[in-house]
Amino acid sequence: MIKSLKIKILLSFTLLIFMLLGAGIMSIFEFSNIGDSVDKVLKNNYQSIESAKKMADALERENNGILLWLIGDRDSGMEAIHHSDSTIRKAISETDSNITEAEEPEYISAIIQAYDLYHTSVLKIVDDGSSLGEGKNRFEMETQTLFFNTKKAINYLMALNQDQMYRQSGIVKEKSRRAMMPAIVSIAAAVIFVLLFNFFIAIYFSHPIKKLINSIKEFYPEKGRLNAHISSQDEFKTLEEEINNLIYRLLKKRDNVTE
Amino acid sequence: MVRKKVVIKYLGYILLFNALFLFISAMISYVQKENSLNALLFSAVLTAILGGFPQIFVEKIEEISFQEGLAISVLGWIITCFIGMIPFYIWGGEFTLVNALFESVSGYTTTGASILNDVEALPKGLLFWRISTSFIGGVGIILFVLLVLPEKKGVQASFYRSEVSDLSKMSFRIRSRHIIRIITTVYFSLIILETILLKMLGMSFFDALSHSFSTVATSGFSTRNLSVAAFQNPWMEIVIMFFMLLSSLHFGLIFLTITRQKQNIFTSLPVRSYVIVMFIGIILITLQLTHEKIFDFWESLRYASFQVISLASTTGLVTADTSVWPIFSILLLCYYTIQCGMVGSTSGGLKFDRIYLFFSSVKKQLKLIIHPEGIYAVRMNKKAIEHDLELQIMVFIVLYILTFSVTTLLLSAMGVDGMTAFSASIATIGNVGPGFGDVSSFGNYAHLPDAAKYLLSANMLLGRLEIMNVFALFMMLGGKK
Repeated sequence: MIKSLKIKILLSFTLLIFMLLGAGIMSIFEFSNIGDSVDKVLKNNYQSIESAKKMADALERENNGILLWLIGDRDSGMEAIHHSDSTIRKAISETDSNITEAEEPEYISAIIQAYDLYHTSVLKIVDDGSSLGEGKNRFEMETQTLFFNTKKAINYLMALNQDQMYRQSGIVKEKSRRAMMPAIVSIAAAVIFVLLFNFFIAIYFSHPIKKLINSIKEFYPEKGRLNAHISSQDEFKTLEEEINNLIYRLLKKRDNVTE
Repeated sequence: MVRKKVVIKYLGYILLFNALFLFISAMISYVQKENSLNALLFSAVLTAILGGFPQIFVEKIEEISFQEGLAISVLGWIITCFIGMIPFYIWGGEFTLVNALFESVSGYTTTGASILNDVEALPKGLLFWRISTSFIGGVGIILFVLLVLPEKKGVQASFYRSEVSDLSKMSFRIRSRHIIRIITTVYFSLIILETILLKMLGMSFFDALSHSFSTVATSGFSTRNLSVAAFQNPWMEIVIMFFMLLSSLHFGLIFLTITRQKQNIFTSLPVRSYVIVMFIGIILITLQLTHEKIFDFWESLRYASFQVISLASTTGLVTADTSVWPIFSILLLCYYTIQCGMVGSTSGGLKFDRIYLFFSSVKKQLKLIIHPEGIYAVRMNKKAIEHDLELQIMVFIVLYILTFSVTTLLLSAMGVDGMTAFSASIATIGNVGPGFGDVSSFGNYAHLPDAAKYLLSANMLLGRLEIMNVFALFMMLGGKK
């Protein structure tokens, strides 16, 4: 059992510091978690969405390229086809190196598969050097369908990342709520702590002081001893005892002088 | 006079005891690498600090008065419920402020009513904390605290008087310290035994321990969304039924049975009546379910037995959706929700012994009408009940009915439908858990308005503290003698 008031107060403040430290560390941890989540949303999902958009744009351009080729503007058409192909392949490899979702590799391989078929069909029209009629026919019968399939596969990837982004924003919102909670709980706990501290100060400081003051007020030498009824075993008890020792010495001195 | 520093010191002990379980839950979270670690650890540290603080200042207490014991007992339950909600609230998910409080109160009062739509989404650490609240509440946190505190004559006796009802004390003829040891020994033995049996039947250790906590504490919290129905194992259901039934009996009588004393669960008249009443219910519901072709006979017997024992013992574990059962069966189950288990057990609510004594008292009054000069006594296990205790029981029954009637009215005023309002009131004040209507066996309390959740939380606490203690404390705080 701790008897010294000094140690009691020191321990109380240490506990308060621990409590606030705990709340602070937890809030910092939760806020850094929010930072990571925001980073994840921006860097990973947003990057994948951007790559998917690039793929979709390039796919449209490649489709325009084959149409240009079919209407006779063969050089511009070929240039557009080759340029778009390299853009799509680059965007695919970017997405492949930035996988964030478990299902993403499946979606990417679906895009690769669909695009390979589409691109082969485009090259088939170009390589065969078909006439406008034949080429148009093949385009309508095969290439166009493969174009839509590829576009659909790209859209799926985009939707997956958009969904995840939406979910992540929900998680970020939840995390920010969690980050606030320790602070709110700590404030409530600190209020309770302060109220308790105030209560103990009143019981173990104010009351003994009042008791000592009252007993000193009511003291007269014939009583012999000062009885402040201090029940604790701390410094106030020592003070009461020391006052009694002083009284004893003074009374002894007075008796000696009188003799 | 109530010495505030004494009350605060003991409330501190209660918080420290809770902190211990929070640290264990945090450890589970740490091992499982879950996101609930921070919430649990922070709550544990906070609770330990708030509990440890009074121990620094307040000196050793040699004796406490009955009033102080009562204040510690009632305030201990209230403060515990508030502390218990912190990890839920910080963790988030489905836990808003009111939901966290509701779940915490439901756990400590061993009600087992939940606001969770998806229990399985909870991390294991938090699940353990959730079930720990029931474990702590089952035998009563005050008794747990007394068990770990050094023996002090005045302290033990005062707590014992305030925490254990007069009716419950009748089966004990020994000193309070021994009674506390008996209660906790029986409690732990039942949990260990049930865990071993469920593990042997194929449950994972975590599920087995959780369901044992839940069964023996008669709380009804499960680790699965479908409760016991998720396991689809009749043997597990039999084991759980057996322990639910045992946990709803007087722990003193169980101890006397194990030590082969004359007075035991087989010779006790109230226990016999309790089992017979349950048996009648099981037969009637089985016959109706079979007759209505809801299940075949054996399935009807299986589900009816489980539901009757679960509700009568105030556990609230579930194997079937009772909300779709015929109205006669539902009304019978409502009766068991009101009747509850026996005194001296972990079950809450009205308690069967009171109903038993109520009818004995009615019989006595009828005899007095016929023979006004006659001297009759209400007896329990061949012992005459004092008139004061008889009166106390009557007052308790009236207050109990009054409380759930007022709660039903208030819930209806909040727009909750009649069946839900009534069954939610009786299921929460009786610390049963599942009711009927929207709060049926496979349903939950999530959709109720926030005000209703606060009201039902208060109801659960009133049921666990046996109403009178709370009113007595308020009267004491109000300065009335």
